[in-house]
Amino acid sequence: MMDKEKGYLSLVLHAHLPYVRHPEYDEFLEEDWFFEALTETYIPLIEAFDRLIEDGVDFRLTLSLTPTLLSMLSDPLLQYRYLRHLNKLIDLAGREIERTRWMPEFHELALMYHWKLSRARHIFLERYNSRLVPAFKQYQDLGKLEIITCGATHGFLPLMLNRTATRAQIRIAADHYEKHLGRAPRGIWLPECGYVPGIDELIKEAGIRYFFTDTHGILFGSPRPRYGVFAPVYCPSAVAAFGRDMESSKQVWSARDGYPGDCAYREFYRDVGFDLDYDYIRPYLHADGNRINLGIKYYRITGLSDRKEPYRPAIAREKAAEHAGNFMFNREKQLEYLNDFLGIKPIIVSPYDAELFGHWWYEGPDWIEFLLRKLHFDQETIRSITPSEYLELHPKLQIIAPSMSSWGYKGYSEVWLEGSNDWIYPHLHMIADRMVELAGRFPDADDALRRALNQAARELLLAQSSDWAFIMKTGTMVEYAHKRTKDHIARFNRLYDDILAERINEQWLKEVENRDNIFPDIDYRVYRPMQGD
Amino acid sequence: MKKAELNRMKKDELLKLAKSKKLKVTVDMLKTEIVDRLVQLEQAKTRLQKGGGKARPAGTSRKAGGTAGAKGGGSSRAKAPPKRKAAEAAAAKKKGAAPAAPKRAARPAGPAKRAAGEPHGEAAAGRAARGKAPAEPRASREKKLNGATIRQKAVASKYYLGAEEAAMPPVESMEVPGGYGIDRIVAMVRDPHWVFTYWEVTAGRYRELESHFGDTWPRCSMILRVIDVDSDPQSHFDITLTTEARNWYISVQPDRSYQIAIGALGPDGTFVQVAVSNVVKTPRKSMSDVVDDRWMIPDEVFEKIFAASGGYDVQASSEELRALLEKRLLEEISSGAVSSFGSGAMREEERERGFRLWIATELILYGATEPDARLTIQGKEIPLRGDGTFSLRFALPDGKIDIPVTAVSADQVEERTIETAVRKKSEEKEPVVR
Repeated sequence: MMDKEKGYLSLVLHAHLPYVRHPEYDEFLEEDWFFEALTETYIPLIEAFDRLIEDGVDFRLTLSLTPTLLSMLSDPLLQYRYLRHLNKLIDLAGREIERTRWMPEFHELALMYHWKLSRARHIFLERYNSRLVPAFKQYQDLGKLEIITCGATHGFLPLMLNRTATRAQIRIAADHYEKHLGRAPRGIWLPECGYVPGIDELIKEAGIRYFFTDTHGILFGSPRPRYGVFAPVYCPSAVAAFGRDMESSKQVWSARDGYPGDCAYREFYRDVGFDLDYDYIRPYLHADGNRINLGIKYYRITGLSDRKEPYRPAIAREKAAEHAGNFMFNREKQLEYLNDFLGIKPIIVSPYDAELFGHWWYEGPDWIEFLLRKLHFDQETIRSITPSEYLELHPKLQIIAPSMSSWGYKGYSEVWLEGSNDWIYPHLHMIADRMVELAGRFPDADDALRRALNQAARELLLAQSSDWAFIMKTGTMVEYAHKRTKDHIARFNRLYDDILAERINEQWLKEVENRDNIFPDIDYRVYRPMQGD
Repeated sequence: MKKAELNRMKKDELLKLAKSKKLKVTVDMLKTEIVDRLVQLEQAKTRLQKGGGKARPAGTSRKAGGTAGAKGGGSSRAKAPPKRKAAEAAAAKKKGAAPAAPKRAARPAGPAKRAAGEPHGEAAAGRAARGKAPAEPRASREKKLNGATIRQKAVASKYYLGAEEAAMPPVESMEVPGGYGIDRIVAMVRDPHWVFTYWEVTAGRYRELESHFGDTWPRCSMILRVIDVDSDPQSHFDITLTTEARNWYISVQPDRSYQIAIGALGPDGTFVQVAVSNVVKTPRKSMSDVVDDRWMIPDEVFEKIFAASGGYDVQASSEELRALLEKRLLEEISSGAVSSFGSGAMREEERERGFRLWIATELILYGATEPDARLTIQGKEIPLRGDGTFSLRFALPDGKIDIPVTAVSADQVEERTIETAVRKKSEEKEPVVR
């Protein structure tokens, strides 16, 4: 393999869900976000990695596991609830096998779901004892996977104004990573790839060596990037920044011919939760009885019309293999082309949302597995690499100040700052300032005061999740996003008032600690301002 | 209802009333604001009844009433006195004055001319339609995500469970404050062309302004002064605010620094500042002019690298976008109806005919035998309930299906069989459209 390669490919998956955990209810609709991602994305990825390792495939992949996701993966209540959820679905799939007996094309699918769901339970429960974080960690320890961190609660950093509070998002994330994965994180995925000058310094302070920006973050950086996005750069703070490649991104996301839209793939919007008789599926719905998606989907995309044909898994799998081959072929061509005039071996950085694979694009995990196999067995032009490995091989980089950017629609902050969600910022900024004020005022609190201060930090962090603004913009589950935002802001403000008035209600504090229990080891002193803040 | 009557009502009652009239109101609004909206709605209705043109209650739409003029202060702005009376004046003026304003000269001030907190009301209204309805047409569910890019759809799917939201009764209900009692203004960069600002001016500060200006107060305007920090000598432009505004999107230039002051502008041009914002810098939206001579390469090679990186796509798409935005904005001003573009335009659901019909048939087969008997249906063994009953449910396709049901006693001595057959045929007729 010595120097045969024409360049590098760095595949990056960003896995994230907001912290949703409601012990105050017996079951909670939005917890299904996590359960669906487990069944359709996280567990299939683990399955794929296991198979790759078994078959001796030397793959490289970078995966960000956000602190909120790590926390949920490690939470016993959610683990228990996931099993309960899964058992219900397995039961439904069993009934579906019977129900579809006279319709072979659906019968086959019912069998597939029953098998897949049972398999998910086996992997989750038997193989990994409900603990998937160590599962991911083992691939990192084997050198195949590089797990990176993210903002503590996925707060969109470019819209934060308080530097101390911005730092806390990164600091807390780095500490949390170390606690769960046994070493300091080398890289960070900035929430929504949102960068604004100055964030690199905070990343540096946390001991993290690299991050990613969208294409224009590097391209519009100053001075001009000598290698475009095909080499990382050092920010003035000496943290490395890798720019997203547009071409490989387009192959997946193009509205016209992106892979996930292929007619053979499974249709996301047709679900038995809506297609089947109400009385029959009622036992599998939540207590409120509203129809929801249950994850058993029988149709393929077929075409643009509403008339959908039954899903054919074998054909879809073939398609995924074909698309993986096509992706690899295009990267080979891209590297060969660039190699002619770039002057160095180019690196192509291709980041995607992890939940794209499996949840939205059902065959996505197959595609990744095929791609990693093909990269290993079928070619020598591309070397699959993690950013850390690249930096070790190529420590000499150009120094460039990247430009403000995000990978959101239109490339900046509009998704999180527009008519539907701009009302949150007066509150978010105020409570961030207040948190810093409290940390300055009480440098060494004990007992109830300390607990109240720690809880205030949790409430601030949870309010800052970019997911809420995003959901307000997209218009589904808006009410929940409003509720979460308001709850955390209001709880923070009550804690703030109580702390200053020296009237902490320990009973209520305990309830809130139990409800918003993320980051059990948080130390509010992370909000003490540093020099220059 | 007369304004005086409304003023005597409690805020709770007003909220209820406003919500029942589908007005977008929230608990963090001031009582006077809610009253204003109700009054405006009343007026709008009266006009409609009289056969007048379209008029909307404030909050559902608002034109670029306060317009960002050219540098050095707008010329065509409506001088509305601050505070309570302004809303009435503005409401009265709106119909006649705004459309007359020259479209191009008055640059739009930005997409969201909306008081903070409005989305809460919107959500509440949307929820009313929820229920345990039979399967909602898939097309309409899907439509919610339409208009977005594929990637947006995919990301949104992460939070999409198909359902309208479940009504989880709140365990603890807390509200966010309407304000924090601090005079402040904050600026945020949205993208190379827009800066967002929000502010709070306390009642106490309004009183101070009122006493400062004395008799001329009714002729004063509350304004935003947008300062171009990089310019020398420093230049600025002003935006006249409507009373209900609490935030504003300001059209700006890429790669420049801005600072925004809020205050009152007297009739003689004196400006009394209430607060001034942080300085913000918009990003550049093209490649940098700075070239590092240690990393110098021929221009044509750089061109190639820039193109391969997608540089021209980035620029082209933002240029196209810009053109599109301006076009849309102008259309909206002339049509006079938009609350917030960005999302507003995107989320606008098409009102196409969503009529449809589909059916599916299922067969339920049930019965009983002895609890310890062995039962097969079409040769496949079926588990029995404790009392010997069984129930099966099959999706029923077109065609004929024979269903032999056989029970064998536990001691293998006796066997009984019932053969049943079903035939199903469906035919879809040509649709009729009248």
